Amino acid sequence: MREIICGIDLGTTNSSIACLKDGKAEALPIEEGQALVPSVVSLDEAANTIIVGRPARNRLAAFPNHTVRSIKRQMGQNTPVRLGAQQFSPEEISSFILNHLVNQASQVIGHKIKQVVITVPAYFNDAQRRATIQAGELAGLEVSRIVNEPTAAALVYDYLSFQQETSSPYIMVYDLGGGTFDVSILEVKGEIKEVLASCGDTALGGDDFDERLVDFFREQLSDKAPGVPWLDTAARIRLRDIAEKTKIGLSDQPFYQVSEAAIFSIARKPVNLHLEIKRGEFEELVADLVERTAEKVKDALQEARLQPEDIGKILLVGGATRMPVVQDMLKEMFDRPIYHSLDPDLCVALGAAAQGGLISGEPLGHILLDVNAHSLGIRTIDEIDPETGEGDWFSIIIRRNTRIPTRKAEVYFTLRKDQPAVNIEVYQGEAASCLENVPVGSFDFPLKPAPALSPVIVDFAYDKEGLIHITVDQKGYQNQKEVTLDIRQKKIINQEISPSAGKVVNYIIEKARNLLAEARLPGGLKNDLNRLVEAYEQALVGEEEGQDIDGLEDELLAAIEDAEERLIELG
Amino acid sequence: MNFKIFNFLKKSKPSTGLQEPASQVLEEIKDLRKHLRKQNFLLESFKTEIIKAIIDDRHPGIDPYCDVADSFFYYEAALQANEHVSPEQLEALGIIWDKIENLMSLAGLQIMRRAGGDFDAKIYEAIENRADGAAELIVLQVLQPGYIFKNMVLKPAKVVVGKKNHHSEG
Repeated sequence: MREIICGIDLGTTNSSIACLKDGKAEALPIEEGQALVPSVVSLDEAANTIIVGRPARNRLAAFPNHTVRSIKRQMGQNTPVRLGAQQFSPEEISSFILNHLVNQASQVIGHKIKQVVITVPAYFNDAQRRATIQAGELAGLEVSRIVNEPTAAALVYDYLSFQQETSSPYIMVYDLGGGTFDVSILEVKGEIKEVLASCGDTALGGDDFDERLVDFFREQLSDKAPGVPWLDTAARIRLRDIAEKTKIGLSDQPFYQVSEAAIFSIARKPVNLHLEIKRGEFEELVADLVERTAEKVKDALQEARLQPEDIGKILLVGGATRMPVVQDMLKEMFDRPIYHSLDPDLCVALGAAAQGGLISGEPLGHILLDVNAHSLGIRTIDEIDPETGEGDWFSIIIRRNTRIPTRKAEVYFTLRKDQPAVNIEVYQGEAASCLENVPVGSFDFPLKPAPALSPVIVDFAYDKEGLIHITVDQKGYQNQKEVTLDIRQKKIINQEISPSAGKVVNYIIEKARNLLAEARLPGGLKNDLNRLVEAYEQALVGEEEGQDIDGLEDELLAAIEDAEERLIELG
Repeated sequence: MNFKIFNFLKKSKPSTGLQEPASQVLEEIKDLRKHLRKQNFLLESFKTEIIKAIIDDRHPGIDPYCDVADSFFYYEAALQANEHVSPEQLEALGIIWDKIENLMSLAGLQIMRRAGGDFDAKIYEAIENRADGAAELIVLQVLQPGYIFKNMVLKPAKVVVGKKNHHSEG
């Protein structure tokens, strides 16, 4: 049996391990079903055991003198690391992580792993590379090769089933992780990928983007509770979690509703965080961070003595590259295909596994991914066609090479006050002009009377059968329409006004409606209940000003209770 | 399913000056009763959704469960921060928690929200240690609840830890 050579991404914050299965690289879910393992090591002195991964991370604050993280930053240095009463070299600490990854992976694949390929940053010097090899050896492993992280990412993208040919030999790898940013430019020379330039910022990552949202939330809460020293540990960590959730939500949706109860309490009252944040607002908050990465990209181009148009393709690595603002910046800077279909958190480990397969002589197959081959979007009037005088701008909603199924939404705005309808024209292609792209289908969406520049959200859910389920929503007007388009046949196969349109989804109303459906309920009670439901619903959607929602709610709750009691009496 | 369980809280009426203690308690009980009733409606609609999902042979997403439980956890924490939580209010909170936990167990979910147990790094993430240097620690306070789904830790509970005898001081 041929020896398995696994690939390991030994990261600063997280590590992962991948191996080839039937010639295809796969990341192994080794800890609680997850492939990403925190690069944290802790010593349990009482049990005299080394703990690695999530449990070690969970011990950081409990046993700070027995726990170490980000050991990668100390690789190649002679500074010992103290864990409790014991001392370890950075290589030994890294060997514990490698040992953990390999042991867990061996259990998953049912085969002992002896050889590995380990990735390191392109900027690692010889001492750091030697230290990494030594860590592998201390873990009882044979390190078949040390590979640069961007090279590993580029390698795995070579084995994707859908490659768009490019004549340029230059690849840019943009790697925005949780805590660090790296950009590298590679030159492909036959089978070899040489690193021409590598720049980065070791103090910039996705966590900084989260912190901007934390600050924003703090300001919102300060407005509600001025001068209150509320930011205790619990509130701080909670806001950080909310910020991360919001950032992820805004990657797919133009708005994100934050509804969090009782962030803290003042004078016996909970202070809630209840707000809607627009993607545009978030992008303004982080604009300077994105700009800092753009400056590093320019530095890397300068170092490699290349112009943006020399780059053939751009690969995205690191979870933070899922943010549209990052992809928009790169699209603006380079008019080149951006590859982001592989999991950006795992593609370095996948590339290392592919390298392992090449070393062991295992035939490598193409990684089959369902992606959309062309960008999908709608026509807007941001540009005018001079010949027809009509709007002709292709506004992309789902970028090409996005892994499907996927769901993305964008917000658009009406032109005129009381505009009667908008025409949704769907196209696929890459040109800025819709005339140069392929029309897929179109339909009208009637609007309720509203001021000019009212938002309309267009949501595309693209499935593996080639269908786009489009939901158009006139925000704030309970007006929705759902349409299904068949991309392959280029026709509408279903369209309907959403059954929920015009109805308020509320569990109190739902309860009342269930009671109204009861045939046994006497007419008088039914009429009262019906009247209150309608009044409460109108008050909630704000159709009539000056309504006392609380009062109506009390009345409705009492009417529900009466109706329930009556039904019990009736048996 | 997208439940916003505590929307009603932001509409709570401001206090109208000093009241007699007895009438204040009555007011609180009245408010609590209203909230409890609304909570029951929410749980009913939640249950309907679950049954529908089971009938449709679809695996219900677990995020909404955690979202509801999180919200109630923080609301309870805010209530508990008050000095005047009556035994009746505490009992009502316990009743609602029982219902939420029963519902979650139907979906294979378990919530870790209680302090007092030994610190186990597999299910708890320490955020603060009030007994630096102690070898054996217990959970003094749960800052964020954690979740276990079918024996797999989805999210560790974020906790404050300390010595066992520290608990009574805190």
